Amino acid sequence: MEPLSLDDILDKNVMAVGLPGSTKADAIDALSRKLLDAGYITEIPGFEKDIFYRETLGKTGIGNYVAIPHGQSSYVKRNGIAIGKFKNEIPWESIDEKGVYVVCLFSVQDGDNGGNEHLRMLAALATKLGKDKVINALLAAGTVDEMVQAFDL
Amino acid sequence: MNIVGISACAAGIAHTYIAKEKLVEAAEADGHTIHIETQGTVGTEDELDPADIAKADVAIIAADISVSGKDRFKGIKTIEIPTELVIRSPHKLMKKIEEIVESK
Repeated sequence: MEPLSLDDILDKNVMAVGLPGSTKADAIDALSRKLLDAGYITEIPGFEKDIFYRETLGKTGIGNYVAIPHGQSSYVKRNGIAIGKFKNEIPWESIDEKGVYVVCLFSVQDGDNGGNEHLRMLAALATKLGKDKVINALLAAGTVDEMVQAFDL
Repeated sequence: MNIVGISACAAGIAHTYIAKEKLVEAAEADGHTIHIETQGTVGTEDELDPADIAKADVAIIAADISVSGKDRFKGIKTIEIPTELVIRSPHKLMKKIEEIVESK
């Protein structure tokens, strides 16, 4: 089997720019809807419950206007990441006390382990989010294609 | 300076890897050599080479949970911090580590 690349996990069907919304719930709803429509999750309420549980454990705002809500959920069929850029700054619990414009919502299957290649790719993607230049390019992206390109940096 | 370390977060999905990258970028910007092992949901990756540990000046444990294999850092100045602090101010942290190591 070919090893997966970042392109296999970056799915434009679950990415969007210019999203409306003004609260964390709006943002998670919008991205969960995309994950449902693209077949990553089986339902929204159960999935969101697991995501919001993770939110209670610690801040998922990683600074510089980016948040990475995530969590393992039995409502996830496929591991993936929905990325949305919002028109408004959304209040979020962030390590720099700022709100966010970019939300990367990770869908991760319950009970995953080391054998899971997709989970490894999510980790690789998270690594990219540790790079300032990737974050800056994501914040500057005006289209979904530009968001995808941001991860090439 | 030679740095080794471990990163691990509560869910083991995202912060572990972001913290690693922040540490690597900050250390390399200051001209240090760094190796960070990640202990996440996918298991341990980039496991530390005993040779790197042997020549390390300092060990960083960036973790929100207990990590395994801390005993490998016996005899090395070890700094333990939450991943959040690493992600928030990696460069400041690196300066602090430089001070600690130099004042030894």
